[in-house]
Formats: sequence, C-alpha cells, structure tokens
Amino acid sequence: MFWVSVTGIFALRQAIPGDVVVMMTPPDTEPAVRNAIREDLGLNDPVHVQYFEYTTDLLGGDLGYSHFTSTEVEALIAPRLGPTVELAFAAMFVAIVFAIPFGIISARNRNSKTDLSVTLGSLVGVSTPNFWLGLLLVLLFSVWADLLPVARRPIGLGTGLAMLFTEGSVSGLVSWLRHITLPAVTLGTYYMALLTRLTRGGMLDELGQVYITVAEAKGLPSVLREYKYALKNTLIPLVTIVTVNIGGLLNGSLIVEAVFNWPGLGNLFLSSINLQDWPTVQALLIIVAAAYVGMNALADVLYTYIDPQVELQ
Amino acid sequence: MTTETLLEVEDLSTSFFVDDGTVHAVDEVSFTVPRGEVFGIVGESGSGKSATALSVLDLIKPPGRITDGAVRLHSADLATKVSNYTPAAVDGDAVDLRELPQNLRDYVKGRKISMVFQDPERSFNKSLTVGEQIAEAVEVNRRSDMSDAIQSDRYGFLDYAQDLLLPTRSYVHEESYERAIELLELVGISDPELRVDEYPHQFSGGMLQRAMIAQALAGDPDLLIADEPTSALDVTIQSQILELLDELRTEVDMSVILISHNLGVIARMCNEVGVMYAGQIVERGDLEDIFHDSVHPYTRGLISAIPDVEGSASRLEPIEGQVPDLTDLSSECRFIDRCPKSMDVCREQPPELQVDDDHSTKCYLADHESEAEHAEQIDAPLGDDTRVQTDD
Amino acid sequence: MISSRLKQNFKNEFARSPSAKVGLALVALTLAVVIFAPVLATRDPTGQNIMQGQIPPSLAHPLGTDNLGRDVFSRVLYGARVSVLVGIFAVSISLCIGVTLGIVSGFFGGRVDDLIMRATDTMMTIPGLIIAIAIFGILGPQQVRIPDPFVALGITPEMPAEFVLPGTVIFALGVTGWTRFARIARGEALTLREEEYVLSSRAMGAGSAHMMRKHILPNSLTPIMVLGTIRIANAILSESSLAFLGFSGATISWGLDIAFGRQYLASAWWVPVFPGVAIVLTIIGINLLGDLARDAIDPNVSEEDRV
Repeated sequence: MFWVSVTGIFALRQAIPGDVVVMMTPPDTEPAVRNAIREDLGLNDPVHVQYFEYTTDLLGGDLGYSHFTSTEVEALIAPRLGPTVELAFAAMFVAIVFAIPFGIISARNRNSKTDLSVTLGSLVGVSTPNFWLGLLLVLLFSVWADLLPVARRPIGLGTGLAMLFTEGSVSGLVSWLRHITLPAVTLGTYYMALLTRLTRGGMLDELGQVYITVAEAKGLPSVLREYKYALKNTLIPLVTIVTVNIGGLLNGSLIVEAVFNWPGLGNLFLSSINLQDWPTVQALLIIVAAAYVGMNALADVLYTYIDPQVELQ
Repeated sequence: MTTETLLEVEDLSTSFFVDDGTVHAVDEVSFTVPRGEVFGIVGESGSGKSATALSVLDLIKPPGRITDGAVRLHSADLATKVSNYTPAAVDGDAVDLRELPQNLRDYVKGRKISMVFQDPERSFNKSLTVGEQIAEAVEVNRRSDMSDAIQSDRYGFLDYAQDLLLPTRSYVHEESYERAIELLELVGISDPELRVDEYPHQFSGGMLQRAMIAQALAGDPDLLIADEPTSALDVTIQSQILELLDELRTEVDMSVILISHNLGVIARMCNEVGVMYAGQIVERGDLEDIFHDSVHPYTRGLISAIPDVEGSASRLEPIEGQVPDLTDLSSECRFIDRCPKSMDVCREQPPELQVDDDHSTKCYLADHESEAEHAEQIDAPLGDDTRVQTDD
Repeated sequence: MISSRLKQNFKNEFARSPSAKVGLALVALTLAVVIFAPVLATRDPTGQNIMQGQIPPSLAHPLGTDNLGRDVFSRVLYGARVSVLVGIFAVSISLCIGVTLGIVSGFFGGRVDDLIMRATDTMMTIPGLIIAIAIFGILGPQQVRIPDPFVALGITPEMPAEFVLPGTVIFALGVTGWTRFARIARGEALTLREEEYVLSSRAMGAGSAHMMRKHILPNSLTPIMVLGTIRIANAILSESSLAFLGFSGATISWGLDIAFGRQYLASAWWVPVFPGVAIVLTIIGINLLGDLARDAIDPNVSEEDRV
C-alpha cells in the first residue's frame, strides 16, 4: 500500500513539465555545467534506474537535497515536524474534550433546547470553512478583544516544558498555550462538530437497545448504564472513524498553518509548491502517505483491543 | 388452601403518545399472582403482553407512560423499608410500587422483581464478559444489603470516575464474581469458572439464556417475569430452559409471570393464565378454566386453532379478521368485529364478569353460561411442539 | 429510476421537517444567485473606485466595499457562480469516473475488482487537497472563460462580459474526488447483478456493457445522487480553500476574496467576513438537503429528530 503511494509520487514527479535543472540554476549557466548537474542528479539515467535510486535512498532515510534552499530536505523538515504534530494533537484534544460531553448531554435531553442548540451548532461547525473560521476567531479574539495573539509560535511546547523544569517558569508554557489556542480551535472545530454528531447519534442508538433496558431491570445505576454501557459502546466505532479521518486533519492543518503563520509542515508544503522545490514537495508527500498508512494500521490494531469480537488478521 | 398473594395488579393502564395518536397498549389490566406460582400471560404479538411486563417493572420509557392503576407487591421487608420514606404507599405488607418515588422504584428492580427477556443475544452488552454482567447484578444487591439507604441514588458520576481511573477500585468486588460463578453453576452451565470470563458471542443461544436467568436470580427476587424466554431458541433448547425455570422456581420459592404466544409453553408451566387481546385481559382463570372451560370467543378461538396432532385430520380454524388499531378505539368490545358470537349488547365494552371462583372474563357470554354449553366443550388437545404435562 | 414510493417518502420527510424546508430555501436562493447574479448585483463587481474604498456596509453598498472600492455585495453574488459551478462540474467529473470504475469493478468482480479497489484504496489514503495542490503546481492556473448570457443579451450591459472559472481546480477536484463514488457504485453493482432481470437479460444474450448501462446504472442512481449532493458541498469547501491559498485562476471567488481581505481584517472586516458567511449558508443548505435525501431513502432510522 505504502509502496504504491511512493511509486505514485515518483510518477507525479516525472510528470512535471519543465526542466528542473534549468529552473534551479542561474540563467547564464553553460549547458555543459547543466549537463554535469543532470548527470550528478541521475536525471539522464533511464526511468527504472532513477526509480531504483529513489527507493534505495528512501530506505536509507535520505530524503533528498533541495537545491533552492541549498539544504538537505531533512533539515528543512525536521524543525517543522514538532509544530505540526503539536497542532494536530491540540486540535484533536479540543475536538474530543468538547464533543463527547456535548454529544452525551444532547442525547440525554433529546429534542430539548440544549439538544437543538448542539445539533444546530454541529451543523454550522461542519459547514464552516476553517480558513474563514480562523480569520473570524482572530477578528473576535485578537483584533476586537485583544485576548490572544494573532500568529506565530515563538515558544514551542518542548521549550516551554524545559523552561518549567529548569527555571520553574511557566511563562514559556503560557506563551505556547496562548499561541496555539486559536489555531487549535480553528482546526478542531470541524472534528468537534463531526464527533458531536456521531456521539449523539451513537448514544441515542445504544440507549434504545435492549441490553440497556435489561441493565436497568437488573438494577444497574443510571450512571453506569450511561457511561460504562452506552458511551463505551458508542466510542468503539468512533475510534476507527477518527483515525481514518486523520487525512482531513492534514488537509486542514495546511490551511490553518497558512492562516496563522504556524511554522509547520503545511506551510513548508505551500511554499515549496510555490517555489517549485520539488524534492521537498516529494518528501512531504511521502511523509503524508506514511502517516496515513501508519494511522490506518494503528486503527486496525486499536480495534482489536477494543472490540472483543475482532481478531487480528 | 389459601395461597398468599405476592403481586396484585389492578387496572393497570399504559399508553404511548406518538405523532399518529395515542396507543393504548395496556388497558385496565388486572390480575394477581400468588406466592410460589406461575402466572401465564398469553396473546398474539401486539396484544400488550410485553408492555404489561415492562409496566410492572417500571421500565416504560417516553413516549410511553403508565397512566393508571396500582401494582402492589406483598413484601414485609420492602414494606418496612418503604415506610421510612413514603408511608403512604404501604398498606400492611403490600407496597404500591406506583406510589413510590423514583429511587425506591429503582430499588425494586433486580431485587424484588427481576426479568428475563426474549432475545438473549441482544440482552447482553457485547463488550463485557458475561461474568462481569452477572457480577454487576450481584454487586447491586450486595451494596444495598450493606446499608439501609437506597443504593441506586448513591452511585454518582464521581464514583464512576474514581472506579474507572483508580486501578485499585472497581464497581464490582471480588465477592460478586465468586457469586456469579455459583449462579452460572446453578443454571446448569458447565465449567463456570472458565465461562465467567467469556463474552456473550462465545455462548450459544441456550447457554446465554441460562446466563440471563442466572443474572435475574442474583438478587433473590420474589418475582421473576419471563417475557417470551424461549421464543428465540431452538425447539430442543426451549424444553430445557422451561425445565430449568421450573426447577429453580421451586428451589428458591419464587413466583413467575410467564409471557408467551405459545399455548404449549403456557400449558406446561403455568398455574393460572391471563389471555390478552388488544391491550386487555379478556379472560383469566386457572389452567383448567382456560383450556377446557373457556368462555371468551377469542380464548376459544386460540384453543381450537391448535392443530390436533393425535386426533383425526380436520381443518384448522383460524380466527377471522385482524387486531384493531390501538389508536383508534371505540367504546365497543374490542373483539366485536371478529367475534362469531357478538350481540347487540357488545357495542358497550363488557366489564369483567365472573364465570366461576377465580375465573373471569370481559365478555357478556359469561352471563349466558349454561350447563349445556359446558358439556359441549371440545377437549382441546394440547399437543404442540413441546411435551405436555397432564397434571399440575 | 426514482420510484413513486421514494417520491412519497421525500414529500413526507419534507413536510415533517422544518430543517428540510430551510435547506431547500437556502439552496434555491443560492441557485437563484448563481443564475441571476448580473441582475441581482447592484454594481459591477470588478469596478474599482479608490475614492470609495473601505466603506463599511451602508445603503449604497449593503456589504461595504473593499480597499479598491469594489462592492462586496456584488462580488459575493458573483462569487456564488464560481463556487457552485466548480462544485457541479468537479463532482460531475468525479461521478463519471467513479461510477464507471465502480460499476465495472462490482459487475465483473474477480481480478478486475481487486485491481480497481486497490487503486481506490490507495487514492483514498492521500488527502485530496494535497494532491490537488500538487496538480496545481504542475498545470498552473488554467482559466475557463464563459461569456455571460445576461450581458450578451444586452440585459445588463454594465456588468462584466465574461466570468472566469478556475479550470485547473475543476480538473484537480474532479480527478481526486471519485473514490467514494466508486465505492458506492461498486456496492450497488454487486447487489444488483444478482437481480432477476439482470440474469434473464444475460440469458437472452445481452452483452456486459449493455447490462451495465441499462440495468445496473439506472437502478443505482439514488444513493449516487445523495452522495453527489454531499460531494458538491465538499467541492465548494475545497475550491474556496484552494482559492484562499492562492490556487485558483478565477477572478472573483469567495475564497479569493477572503484571502484578499485578510490583510484588512482589522480595518475593513466586512471584506473577508461576508464571503465566508455566504459559504456557510450555502453549505448548510446543501447539508440539510442531503439529510432530507438520506432520511427519505432510509426512513427506518432508529429515532426521529426534530431538527
């Protein structure tokens, strides 16, 4: 599966029109120099040789060299990995922490005003483009209320934690929190809305099942019926849905990083495309494919733990 | 010999309020269950049998609601407990469950009255072991025995959070697991110590139903309601389960309300029977009365619809017509459109009339009983697909 | 194709659900705007007038003007064309590709099925937006210019003579969005190929193509159509996201306007905010209609909701 993607990416790269070498060298370079570069890059070799080189390089962890920035692609990517991962986790955290209680309360009080507002809110949340939401939040919280900063990420989580432990200072963490709030909420809103809908629907389904009535008939306290029985069984299928939807999270972080100037992989991708820095683009696509495949595998494994009827294949 | 009454249901009515109208699922249903005996409720699907069972145990959920009636359980220790809270509901040793506040009503579930449901595969939580689920039932009772207070309103979200997060705590204590194993053994499941850790999907239908019975017995209930306990099972297993119920009943001295559409099952197990049609009990009496001396044309129709396995081949006699729409009821007798013996007076809903001691029916024919009609009763064969006991 | 029972279900669900009515109203409004933009717009959306720059919403300019003096209201109206038409065209492409692959895959089964499903799964692993951007990088912003009928007919001569659709975006979205169609179509084909009329058709010597076209396809339309509505909503979101990031080709687009207005967030918030509101309303409308369709097709949902 992964290899198919990798091959696909390679094919994509080959499809790029225009001569890469011409683009990355100054206009007055001599053809001989250019040819030498081509040789060096292996661009004159037949396709299958290039493919071979490409895959072996990959296996060795070599992601290539970006001529534009004159740095190894790895050096470009590495510092941006942290921010993107932070953002993704923060967004998921926001989504889950709000969606599950909302879903439960909504299901518990069906068709009440609370339920209607939650349902309406979820509908809006699912229908709102995240770049616009980001700007709206910035407008409300930064421009008008001046509560939260607009963009950038001066202090990362790691630095913040380090500051806490070495100096006993929380200012690093506080700064990180302040800067990550708006982007995380922006990125997480769609998922919050989606998860709320799923939790609500799932709870309603479960609560209507016979085993819940049976549990009540045997005297099981309502708290246990709601949480240990209904909620747990609702969350089980959600695990797979969430992991599978990580792709959407990648899409979204692209946009959110652009809006908030967040120094992550998404922003790198955009700038690389604009600069036509193909090695970097290629490397990023590979990382995305790997992340996706990894997530799907993780979902499978998780599911075997959670659902007693499934066995690992 | 007078047998003590355990449960008195009087004029119980339950309706479901839906968009298309109000469904009167249970309409002024009355019956009594003596201690240590089996009361059967028989009727076709949609007659209100399950709704009645759920109403007795206060399991009716919106859009349904119990609209009228009393459910009196005779239990000395329940009466004592309740008089500390709601003395108004107590009368001697009888407690009207409908008069109780929610937490006391919840107290009854699983302890004084418990229930066995029709489809065992749907009745268990698929993600928990069978043992855990039975142990939970045991635990519920263990906790309330430990203190005088009513258990169910004491377990809140914080307790759950603690039980969940702290590894040393859990809702179910070790003792309860032990008892769960004992219960599994009691219902005839072999290797109970092994099976207690298995999941519902690892049990066969019959085994799972046994487990459900085990779960229902966890609290030593005075009354067990069995709603079509065998309908989802294979024929050979049905017999085993019924036998099990019979054994257990005598062993623990428990009363049973047995609900079924299968007359063979009813005939085999019950002492007294109530026949339900369109939300009402149209006839009730003991086994003899219903099977040999029935008055209500519906009952007679049911009995004569049983194919005669041993006798000569004759046409099956179905009951013509269809069940009336429960949202659109007039004041006539509900069976009037299908009744071969309907009279003008039947346009007025018949009250419950006595035919004999302990035999009553909601049919004006009760007044028209004559010796001649008695003698003409066909001795309806009780052959079905189960073996019939000819003695009580 | 669409059975009368289905139509009846539609009517019932519609009548009992206030949200479906809202959905229909919103979608109807959107379509009206798409078609009649030149008539409804008060000013030329491309008309610049620096003197009138950055005016907050007022009677003359209901939604204000941007820094170049362009009327936001008219731009929002015209923007609908791009979003909705891109959505419709892109989804049409995806539908054609996906349904063809899906039906072929489901109908023939075996190795063909395996192969196509592998491709579909792989395609699904990579987030669509990223591939779309990559495609954009290769093809560049190709424009599709369409003459405006209202101007051509002389009804609204002061409006722009052409409107521009972002061709690359349509292509990119069309080429990346087919996977779900393939899945659904395949499912339908698998079920339908066992139907009596298909088997008897084969017995009479009908060829595969004929059977797929005449029997399988018409009967699988309903779920495909439902998916189509939801995918249009997705496509609109994607188009505006791409436009926001600078990958467009159109001249007026909700996403572009939001991107453009971003720098004026503090000084002229109406410029980026209103196009976004338009997006939200359009998507809500489509989602509600999608819910209606789903409820109509599958009325045995466990519980009913009052929204």
